[in-house]
Amino acid sequence: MDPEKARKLANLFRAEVKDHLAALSDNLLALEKQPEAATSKSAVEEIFRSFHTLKGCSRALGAKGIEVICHRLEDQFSQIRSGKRAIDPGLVDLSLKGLDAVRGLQETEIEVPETDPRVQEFLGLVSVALGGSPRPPSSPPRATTTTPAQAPVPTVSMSAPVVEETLSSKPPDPKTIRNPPPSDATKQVADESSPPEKASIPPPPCRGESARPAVASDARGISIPKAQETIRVAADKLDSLMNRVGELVISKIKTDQRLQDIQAVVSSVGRCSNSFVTLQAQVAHTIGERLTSLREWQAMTKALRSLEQRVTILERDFGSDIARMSLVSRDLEEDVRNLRLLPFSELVGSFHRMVRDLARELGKKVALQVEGGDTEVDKGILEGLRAPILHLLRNALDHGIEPVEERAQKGKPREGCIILRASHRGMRFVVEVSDDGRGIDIERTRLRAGELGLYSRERLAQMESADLIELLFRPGFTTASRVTEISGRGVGMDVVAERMTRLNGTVDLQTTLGRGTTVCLSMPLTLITTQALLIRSGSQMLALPTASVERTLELGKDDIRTVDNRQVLLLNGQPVLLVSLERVLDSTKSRKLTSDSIRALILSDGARRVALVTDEIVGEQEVVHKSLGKQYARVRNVSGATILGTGRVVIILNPHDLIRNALGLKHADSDTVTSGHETRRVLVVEDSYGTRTYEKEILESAGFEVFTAVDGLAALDVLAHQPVDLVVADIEMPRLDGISLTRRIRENLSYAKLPVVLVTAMESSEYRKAGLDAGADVYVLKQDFDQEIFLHMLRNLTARS
Amino acid sequence: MLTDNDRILKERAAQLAASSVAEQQGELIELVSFSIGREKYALMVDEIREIQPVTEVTPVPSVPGFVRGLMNLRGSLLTVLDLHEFLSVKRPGMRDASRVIVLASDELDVGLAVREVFDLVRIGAASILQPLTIPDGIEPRFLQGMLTDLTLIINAQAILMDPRMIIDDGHGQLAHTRSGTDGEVG
Repeated sequence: MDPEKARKLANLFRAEVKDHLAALSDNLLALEKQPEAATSKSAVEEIFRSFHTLKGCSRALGAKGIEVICHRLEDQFSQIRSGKRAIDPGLVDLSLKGLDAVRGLQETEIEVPETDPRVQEFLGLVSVALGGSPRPPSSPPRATTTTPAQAPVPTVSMSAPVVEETLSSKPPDPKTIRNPPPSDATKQVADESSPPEKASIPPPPCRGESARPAVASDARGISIPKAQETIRVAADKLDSLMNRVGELVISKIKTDQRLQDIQAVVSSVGRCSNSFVTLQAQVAHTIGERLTSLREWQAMTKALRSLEQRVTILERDFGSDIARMSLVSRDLEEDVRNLRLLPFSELVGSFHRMVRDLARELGKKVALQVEGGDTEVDKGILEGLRAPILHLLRNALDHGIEPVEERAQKGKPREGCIILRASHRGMRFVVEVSDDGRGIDIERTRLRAGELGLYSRERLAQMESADLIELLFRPGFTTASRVTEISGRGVGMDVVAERMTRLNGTVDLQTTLGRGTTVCLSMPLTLITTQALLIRSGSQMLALPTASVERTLELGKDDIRTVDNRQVLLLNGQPVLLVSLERVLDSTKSRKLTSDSIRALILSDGARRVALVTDEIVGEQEVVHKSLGKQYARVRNVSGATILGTGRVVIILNPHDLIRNALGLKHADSDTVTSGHETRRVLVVEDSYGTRTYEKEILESAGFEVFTAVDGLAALDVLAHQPVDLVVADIEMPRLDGISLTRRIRENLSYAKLPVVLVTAMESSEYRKAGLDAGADVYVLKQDFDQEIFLHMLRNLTARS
Repeated sequence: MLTDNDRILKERAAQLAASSVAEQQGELIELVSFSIGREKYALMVDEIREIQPVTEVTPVPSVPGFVRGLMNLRGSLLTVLDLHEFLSVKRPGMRDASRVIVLASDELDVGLAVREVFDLVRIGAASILQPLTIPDGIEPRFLQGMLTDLTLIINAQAILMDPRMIIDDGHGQLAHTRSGTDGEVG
């Protein structure tokens, strides 16, 4: 099997495993909580079936390690099913550990053998828990379980929709689990007609007959089979669909413009027609006897009138067509947006597990209740909520819920309760995390703020509870008396606030001392996201909508031609203008393209294309499109900005503008392709972050390649490994100051001749003399700093060397 | 020797003198003073929303020079301005910045990049002087006054309301074409 197919199959497998693990986790936790409940029987049934199915498909794909684990656990649940043993918490615990092992095993490659230490470790746990040596699994013929390339699997292409069955109560039918026939039967399997119960498309082995485990859960977290037909679709296909719809909207806007153009034409024709009639009356007098001319004239007038009518009808019809199209495209937009909606319960699965484990670790008894699991919300929002909710749950567990004895003393039920509630309120999606724990001590917050020096004592004394609660969202704030590994260290609420702002949402906190706390997260229902390609041009990271990038290429000198004093690329015989992105954004910059290898991307707006040279293609990701701000009515080339997961702000470029401006650039001073390194390298040595980044910025925009060091010693370190053309250093720095650094540079044979510029705030003539005596070439005062003169001088210094 | 009367009169005189000083001072104004390059300025406290350390400022292409770029402030985008550029101040001195003073505004998220922020200053309204009008200096409408040590008090409202604050590039480089049809420039 070719690697592409193998990769796709592996991904399908992982998706399956993920689903099963989620359902298994839910069912096991429910079972642990209420082993005697009426629903426990079906839970056991589902658990058994999940393990059974997983065993089957991991065997088919050669994931031996996973197969073995699932087999052992399947056996145990088989015994429970047939009444040979009872459910005990130890087994649930063991099973959960098994799930963790499986999760770890499918992360990179799936064909992990059973000899792998992680598998062995788990098997060891099994034998300890159950006593006796692990039974060897019944091994199918060797040949078929080595690699996926040999294991015959039905060829499933990603485009074939797989129709899933609803959960039924049929007992597992060994016939329908595909035991792999000998390896040379690949073709046979592909041709084989599917078993009668299934749809006509041969499903991958994982399906068996146990369909996708149920997703819906009620407030107690127990799975309920949901009778609904579903289709699994790759997320990026949905995104692609969304982009198409976005483009449709743009086309629709253009047609609106056409309509206006037509209306203008109609009025024009109308005016023409009227003038003609007026003129005709005048002409009729003068021509009089020349009847033929008059008749021609009349014919003309009539024709014009008729034209006017036809154009008016055209306008009316076109107008109604557009109105209709608007409706359809708006509905389409909404439908596609709805495709991305997922139920809140998708997020919650892993939380149950986390709460259980953490509560155990902390020695507390806590139950997690989920309400509104069915509430639907955009996939992007759901993903953005994971981190903040996790934080809040950890906080509630760590600081909120009291240990059992304390709760008993207070007369509270021994088991603490955390409620996770999701709902729609108007056009907003709201999530609440409530606990019935200690509540937040406002007075301690007041004290802590005083200790941290955030405000004066008097100011704090005046503050009301609402203001004090707001302080909790400041970075570095924590009222926990000891720093815990879990959620102390003042890292928490400020991160929640920041994440919520990124989602254009808000966070609100209500608390009652002794009774509990509720944190409320509120955000708009939909998120405007785009698939973006991140690129680096010069020192800047920029983003382009992926939909506008046809492809990316690497070019050599020979791929570039000069036509009419401009540089072009031949793409399938068609010339495409080649221009550096830096120059499109700032036409004063002319870029020397080194010929070794040029990275470019083909930008297209549907009608025209341009090849843009960039320094690096960083990667592709989904970004939340943020508008720059109210004061930006229109910025050329820029469509907005986004904040990456790292907190970094990245500008999103506008492809239409870029293409238009690229095509409009003047020919002269166009980018020239030369060879060799022309960039001069500067080492900036400065301990102040603000000054260091400022110097780096101005040097980089002047075309220098900049390295930095925070003090003299670090600078020597850099110089030892990295050749540079110039050093710019501060004087007052820890460990090794600028003057001593200069001396050391002059003493070192490898770079004794390196130009050194001291940039400092030390005005005294003694320092100046010391600096120059040590060997510095120039002594610049920060107070007299002039950017232009500085850059000019640096260019001279590096030109000489 | 002072009689009781004299003493009382003297005390009363002292009291009156003290209260007239207070009257002269007028209300107390709170200002935050800061430096940009080598120059010292101040802003009224109620014109400031907050003061933050400078983290990464991302430059925005194709905007006027006084916009240094965008900064991530708790998840939202803050526009960072270079005050000297905005006011066309051509003094030498490094424009490095360690802090951003975020201006109080309901509409705009704007901050000034400053080198250093000094303490809160409390002075009587009466001590505020008229700023010196210098040719090629800062336009008077951007100044609220001057302190006795020549610190210039900036009028943040004037900055926020200045038409240059709205960045509008029209229809891009080829302003004469209608939107929808893009004329090629040969």
